[in-house]
Amino acid sequence: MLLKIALRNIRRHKRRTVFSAITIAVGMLFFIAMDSIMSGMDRGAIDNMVALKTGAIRLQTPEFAAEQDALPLRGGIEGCDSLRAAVLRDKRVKGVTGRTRFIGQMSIYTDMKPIIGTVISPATDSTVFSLTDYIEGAYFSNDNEREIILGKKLAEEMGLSVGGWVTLYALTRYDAHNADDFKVVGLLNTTDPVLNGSGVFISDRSADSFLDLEGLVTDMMVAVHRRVNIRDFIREVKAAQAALRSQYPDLTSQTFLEQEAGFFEIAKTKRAFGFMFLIIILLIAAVGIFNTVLMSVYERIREIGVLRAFGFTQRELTRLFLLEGLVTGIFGAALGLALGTLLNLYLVAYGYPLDKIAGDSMGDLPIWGTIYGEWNLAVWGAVTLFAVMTATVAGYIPARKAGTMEIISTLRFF
Amino acid sequence: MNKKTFLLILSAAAAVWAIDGPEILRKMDVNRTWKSVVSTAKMEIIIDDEVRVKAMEISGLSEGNRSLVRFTNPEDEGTKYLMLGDDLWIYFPEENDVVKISGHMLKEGMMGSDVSYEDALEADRLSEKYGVAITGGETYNGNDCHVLTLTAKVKDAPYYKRVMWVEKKRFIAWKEESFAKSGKKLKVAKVLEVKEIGKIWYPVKVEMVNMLRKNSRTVFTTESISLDKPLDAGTFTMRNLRR
Amino acid sequence: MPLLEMCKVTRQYTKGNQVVHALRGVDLAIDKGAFLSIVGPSGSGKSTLLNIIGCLDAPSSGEVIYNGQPLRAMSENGLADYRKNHIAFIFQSFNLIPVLTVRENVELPLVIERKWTRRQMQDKAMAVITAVELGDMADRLPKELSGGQEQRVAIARALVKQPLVVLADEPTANLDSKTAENVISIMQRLNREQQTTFVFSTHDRMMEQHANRVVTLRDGLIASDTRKES
Repeated sequence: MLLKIALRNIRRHKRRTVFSAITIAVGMLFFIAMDSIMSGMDRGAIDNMVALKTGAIRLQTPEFAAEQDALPLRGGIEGCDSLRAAVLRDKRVKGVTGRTRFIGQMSIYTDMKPIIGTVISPATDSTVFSLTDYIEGAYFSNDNEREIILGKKLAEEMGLSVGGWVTLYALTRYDAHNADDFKVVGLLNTTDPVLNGSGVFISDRSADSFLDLEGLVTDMMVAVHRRVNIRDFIREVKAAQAALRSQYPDLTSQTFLEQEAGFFEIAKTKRAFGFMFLIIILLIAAVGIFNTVLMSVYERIREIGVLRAFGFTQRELTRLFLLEGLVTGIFGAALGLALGTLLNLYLVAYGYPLDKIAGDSMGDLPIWGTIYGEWNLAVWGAVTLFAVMTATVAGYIPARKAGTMEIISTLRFF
Repeated sequence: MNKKTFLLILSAAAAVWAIDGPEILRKMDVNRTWKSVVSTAKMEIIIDDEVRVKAMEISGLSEGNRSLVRFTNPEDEGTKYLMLGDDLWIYFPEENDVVKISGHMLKEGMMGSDVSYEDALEADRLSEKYGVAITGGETYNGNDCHVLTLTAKVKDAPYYKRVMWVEKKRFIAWKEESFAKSGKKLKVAKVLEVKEIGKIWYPVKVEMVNMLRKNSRTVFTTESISLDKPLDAGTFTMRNLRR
Repeated sequence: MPLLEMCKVTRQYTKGNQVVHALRGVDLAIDKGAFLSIVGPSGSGKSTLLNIIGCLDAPSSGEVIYNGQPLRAMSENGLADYRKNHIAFIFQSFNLIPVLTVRENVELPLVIERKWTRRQMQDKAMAVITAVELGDMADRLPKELSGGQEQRVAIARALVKQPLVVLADEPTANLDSKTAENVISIMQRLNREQQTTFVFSTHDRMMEQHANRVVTLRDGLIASDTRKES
């Protein structure tokens, strides 16, 4: 009978119930969408980072690692080719390539811009990094010309386009000033805005003469096969790192997590903030529910009086309203889950075009382009539980109040 | 042609032939031979039409290549540079912090100018790193000059090639061009004004242009200078830097 | 021993910033099987008296004794039990549960008693509904009924658990005279056949005439107490 009264009440106050349920559903929808986008952004940022900047693991000599903030052209890794062949024997490893970063300036004579350039080996770089996927123009050719690939945004800032020439200025391995003209063969338009705004790549062949490198390689970048689940990927990377450590005790290694520790720290904070934001959304939904149940209690005060006059105990009354809240909550949660699933299906399949929506206002995001949603069933479960509980608890407080009110003041005989 | 004229020509020729590159460098050094220097100077950094002025007080000891620079223009008031040998420290009064400049940073433009710390620090060791040859004679700004070409002997010479216009009479280097290995001209320095202080011709106004940034140049003007005044070695300490 | 006894019962409450003395010391003993009418001008304390007897309100001072037991001494659950098993209310404004049908409204007190099967509840409910001549309306909702029909549902609801005491606050106030007569006769029949005690407040002359005892309240005190021999 309690359930019958509760259900009938819910049906009778259709608008109010639907309003509450929609509040819950919208709260959940927001939560699910935000969580999906946030996870997608995290995953996207990691994929970007690994595919464009950090690789899975980076090997350096301890000597270089100690000074690497200054990016000296010293402390290179010996015997790169044999090291590469040896590392590739690990089943987890997808590719290995050498990279060397250098500090310099880029000049078009009217302007000069400080840059961090990267020397890559065109032959092996694409076994680790996916620069070639994003190039407008061409990759390094086998011509003897000095060629350069630039981030597209950087090139635009400097007024450069494919086929143009730019003067690179840097210190050689021996700290001699050097400057030379490079032909822009390709522009990088990647999903990493930082790379687009500051990426400068030259081939190891032209670097050998430009920087007097004499084959110096400071960073060996190791790629590990991708896994769909990020946790699996991290586990694989760590296992590969452990293997490398025991095999090459005189090299230091850093996973992408360690290389970009600052980013992950910030990401964690951002995530916490995002989560707080979502909790606030749900709390607002809870206040909405609280309010509707409270309204329902006051509207039905006379009814409550009658029930008590006929011997309803406080507990039974409280249970009645809890039941109403619970049913509303379940209804709302079901609606929220259904809508969330639909929205997420869309997000996973078609993605969220961050670049089109955010425009240029979010320049410091580590990711660009379209972000794809993720399925995060644990979070969904938690949010559903939270929504139902919120609705129930929101019903509890006014219900208790109704149960403890003086009966007479609920009935008003006089 | 009488005998007297011939002798004159001969002796002139002899004088010309007798002097070689290293000798000119050595003679140039005379103009830099002082025990100590105390000066006030200003540096004008001209980028397009905008001029930024840095004013400073400089004291230096040749022994140990020590110098202390204190900036006096309002924006940089209290900022100090201490150079000891090849090392440079900068004191920032607002942060009350000292930063050591080393490695790459020494090659960067000082205070946004076209003068690198390295240029400012460079000791007279040109002949250690460069092979020197007289590659011509030219009249520069009305002064009869040797054209001196310095070519790097070692890989760690800061520039691959340097060309100097050195006045034959007073051994003042009126102009210097620095080149990269690629042959690209990197920097041009010109002496705009010299002043005689004792036996020394001191360049009181120098213009520097970074050829990779053609819209900017830096003019360094020494406004007052006294040489060989006794200086307390305690001036050039970290403690004094912070004060 | 009287079934219900009130000793020096007072009740005051504040309305706005005014203290209202609804009852100023009422002594009243009600025997089992009484058909008692409480009359008096409005504001004389009739409703308050009924509320206090029905334990919907507590006296400010004095004592209500039911079956020899003071109500004041009962716990909240004990009071709920008293209301559940011994007393029934008929409200002036019916107070039916709007989401429940006629039959469900009438079943409600039985549901609360928790001692009947579904079948038993249905049978009992239908019996009283038929008694108040609403048999063909059992599945309607209150909003589909007339005022008189609603009041009859309220009476049926009060009577279904066969309480010892029925408290009715102006049970005929919202009814036309024909329906009112009908309602009164139902109450009288129960009073006669099952010795159910009725205590009702009324302005209705006709109702008053049917009572076997008439208590007149004035300014919170009993002004007169007349017993009729039937």
